[in-house]
Amino acid sequence: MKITPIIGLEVHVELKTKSKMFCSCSAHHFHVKANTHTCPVCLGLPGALPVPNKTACEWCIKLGLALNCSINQDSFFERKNYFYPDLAKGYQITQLQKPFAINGYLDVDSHRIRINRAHMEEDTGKSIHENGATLLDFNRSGVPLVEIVSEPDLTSAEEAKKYLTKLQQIIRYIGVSDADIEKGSMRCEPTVNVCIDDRFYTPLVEIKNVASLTGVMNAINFEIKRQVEKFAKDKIEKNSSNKTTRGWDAVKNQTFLQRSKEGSADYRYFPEPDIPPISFSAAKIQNIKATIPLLPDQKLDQYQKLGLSDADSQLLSRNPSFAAAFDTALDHKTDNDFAKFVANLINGPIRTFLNESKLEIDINSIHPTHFQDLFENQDRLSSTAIKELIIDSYRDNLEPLENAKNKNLFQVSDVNTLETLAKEIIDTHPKAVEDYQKNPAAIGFLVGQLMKASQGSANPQLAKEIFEKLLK
Amino acid sequence: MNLNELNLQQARQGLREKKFSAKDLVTACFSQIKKHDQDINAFVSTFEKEALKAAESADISLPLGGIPIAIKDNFLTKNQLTTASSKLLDNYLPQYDATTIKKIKAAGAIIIGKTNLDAWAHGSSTETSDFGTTKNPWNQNHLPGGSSGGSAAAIAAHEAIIATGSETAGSIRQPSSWCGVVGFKPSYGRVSRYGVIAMKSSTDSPGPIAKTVDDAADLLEIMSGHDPYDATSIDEAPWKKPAPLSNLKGLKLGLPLCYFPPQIQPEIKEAILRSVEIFKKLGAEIIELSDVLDPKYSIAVYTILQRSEVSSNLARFDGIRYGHDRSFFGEEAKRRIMLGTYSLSSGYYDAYYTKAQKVRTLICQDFDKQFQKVDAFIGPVSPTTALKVGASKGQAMFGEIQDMLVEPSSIAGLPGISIPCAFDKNYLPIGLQIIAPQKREDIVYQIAKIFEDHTDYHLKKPTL
Amino acid sequence: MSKVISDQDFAHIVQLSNLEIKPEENFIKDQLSQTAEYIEVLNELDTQNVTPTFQVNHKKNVFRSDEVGESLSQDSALSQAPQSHQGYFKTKATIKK
Repeated sequence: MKITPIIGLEVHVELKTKSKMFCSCSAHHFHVKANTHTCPVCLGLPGALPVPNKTACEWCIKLGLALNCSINQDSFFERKNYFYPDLAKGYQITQLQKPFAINGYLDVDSHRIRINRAHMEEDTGKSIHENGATLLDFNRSGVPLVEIVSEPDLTSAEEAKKYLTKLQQIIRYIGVSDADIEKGSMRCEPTVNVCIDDRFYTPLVEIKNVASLTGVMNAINFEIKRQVEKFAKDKIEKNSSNKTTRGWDAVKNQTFLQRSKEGSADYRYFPEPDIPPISFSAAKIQNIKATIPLLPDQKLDQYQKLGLSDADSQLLSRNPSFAAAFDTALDHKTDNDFAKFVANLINGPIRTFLNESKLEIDINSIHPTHFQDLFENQDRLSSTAIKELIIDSYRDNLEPLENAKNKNLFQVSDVNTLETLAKEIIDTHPKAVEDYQKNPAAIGFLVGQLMKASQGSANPQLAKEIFEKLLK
Repeated sequence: MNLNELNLQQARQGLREKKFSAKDLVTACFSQIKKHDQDINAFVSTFEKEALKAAESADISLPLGGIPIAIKDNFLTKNQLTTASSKLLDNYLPQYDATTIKKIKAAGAIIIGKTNLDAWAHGSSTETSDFGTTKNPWNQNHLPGGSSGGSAAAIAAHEAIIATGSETAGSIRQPSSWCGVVGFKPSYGRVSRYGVIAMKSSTDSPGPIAKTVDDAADLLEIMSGHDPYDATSIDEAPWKKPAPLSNLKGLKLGLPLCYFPPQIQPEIKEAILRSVEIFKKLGAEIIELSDVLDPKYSIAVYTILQRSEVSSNLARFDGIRYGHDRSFFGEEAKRRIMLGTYSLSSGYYDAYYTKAQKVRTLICQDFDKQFQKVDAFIGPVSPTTALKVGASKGQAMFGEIQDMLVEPSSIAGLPGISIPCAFDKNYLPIGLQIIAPQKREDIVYQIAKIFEDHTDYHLKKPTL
Repeated sequence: MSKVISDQDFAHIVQLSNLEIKPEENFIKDQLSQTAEYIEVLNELDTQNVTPTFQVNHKKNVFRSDEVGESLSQDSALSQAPQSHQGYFKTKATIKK
């Protein structure tokens, strides 16, 4: 039996604008005291009217462009009518006929996943179900959302995960959302069915309440298996009215039936009479496009061309903050050695320091001249010293060369001083000298003694050369 | 003459000349309300204590300083009961003021109460109000019209000096016509809709109801102006009334023949034709328009669009955040919500909603075409004078038929006015309407003003 | 297009409208049919090449800038609610869509 999963993803992304989509309430709602960010508009009070947030609309278009979409120059909002207690107005303002962005794509490991649309809408309030009652918080009501709908081009849970990860990276790169699945600023609803033996299609299932990337994968895999088994028993094929909605239970690791008869949903869309139509000129769209930075794939390519290893390029490009930190430190230089030097410091000591202190990287703490100074003086500094100095630079904005002087980290390269010390060591360690003459590898002990005597400031290479000369 | 019988111009002058105080004026209105409103039922609620208090500190230098105003009960007034004449909202104390209410307060007016309407403004009789029918002050066996019937009756009964109304299709002009007062419906977007309970969002137009054309124009000046909270509001400075004309020479007035349908009350037709003679004497050229699109199409367009938007606009009333649950909707609201739901539902959307929006285009184009030939339309407001109480009961499209002569201009968002132009044999008022192209309230004002200056129907008072 | 609204249609409309219709209000069904019949008059007009008009005052691109303004206090937001609980609006339990 040949099994081909058919997977589409509907992704909702909460934009991180300051204010809500249609009113000036703060859009910030995570861990905020309930019902403190509401007003007549987002609370759906009688007589209140929506006025769209310009930044949100532009960001939706920016996201659409980043996903290779065409932009509908003439667009408008519509009302989607349905009743639910967390939907204050009894309708959601969204876009159906003329979404801002259409017909895009995302390449996942050179498999092109088509994107049907990226449209602008508003979030609902939050419901908490407790002791037979529903409690409602409208702080989230009216927060701007972009809905990104893929075509059913994905063929495995693994690919879906890659698609989502890539989408997440792009969204973070262009800075329009935190796209955090755990915090709910990115929400995914896979639609799954299976093609069996290239002939039979199982009924469509939309999965809701998936709250992590692993959850998405597990839910898809569960559904594929469930549908194949079910089809083996009942031979029911997909038709226009047997799409169902299933919830994901992350504890039991299984989906469960939420709603059948999808056909009965009738949202009675019609153009939102309270908001005039929107029209973006080609020039305006170009302006928005110009604000899109290089995206992860382009970044990766750029870093590889700078001579960075694949591992370093990946590490830096998959996180826009690290990429930005690297770009800042590199300061437009194209020297491959310098690039490698910077990448090593950011992916090494700085990343370790951030992990240990549980901090996010802060681009303002990256001082390009400090990187440059360290690079130019790397002969005089041990690698341990360089690590210490770059962390001091990052954490406390300490100028590395001055700091090295104060901490006495410069290596002594004065041959006379070192020779004097080496002679003393040879005199006081006859056994070691004997060892060396039998086995040249034993020079390490003598060098170590010299390092100790110079309080670590000796250049080890130079020390080695001095012993070799004196004991020839 | 009692103070409450003054019009806005007289009241303002009297206040400024210190012939009486704002408190005297407010007291006079309340004394009239107490005497007659049990019968008329123009008000849903009154705020005597607050109004008297406000009168004490009234700043009469303001444009409406110390002037008692009645507010249609679909305008949100902060912390003051706002019901839309529906039991669903019989306990609703709004958390904010409508933009127009802010403006009216800032202009110094004193809100004396909230007036009755057809529940949710659905109707042309006030008979669908959950708080009883308002009676026509000219004859209490008759209806005041609607939906702004409470405001029109309050002005006709001299219970207030000025009032606000709102029109979606006729709700200012039709009750003003039936109650013999002046109702000025501005262009769509001229007056902010923010804080006025939405009925049909794409044509809702708040506006003034008053005793004279100048009174209405003065209140419109205060109510109008761009509102950043209403994305559909016209992006212009507040409207200013122009200088009055001394004659109408050079002006072409169109008389649309189809505004005289077969069922029109003959006295109304005669009254309009007499008015035509007055306009002719004032120098206007009268042009009969024989190719105006039949208003029957407007009835259907209005019915579809109004029901559709209503079904969505009333969805927020779920009794969770304010008011009572949806079982408190009356029969009329239920009927409208359901027809709207039906016309928007899948399978019917194109046949009804899209079709209606297309015919709306034809209606707008027709006006554009006619306004190539004439500067304004004149005609009757309503095919009948005030009907008897009970007339609307059981008629699913009562309002639409009553409002057929005001619907086309509402659908096209045009400004219009109803002014008293005669009385029928039962001494019920007859209204004349003037319609002008979009944003041309100036023409409406000038024609209405000169007509009023040359007639005295606006000076007649009902015997209560 | 059928002008008569069937019992099934009617039940569906009632459900979509989130209303309850009492048996004595069933006459509304016939009124809906009558109204639906009346509006058929529009079919007399040819609108093949006509674009719909959604807005009569031809406005376009009305936005607000992304700035945070004042919100209602929690007390004010909840002040008109029939039921509230610890800063939340409260309603009877609903089954998640």
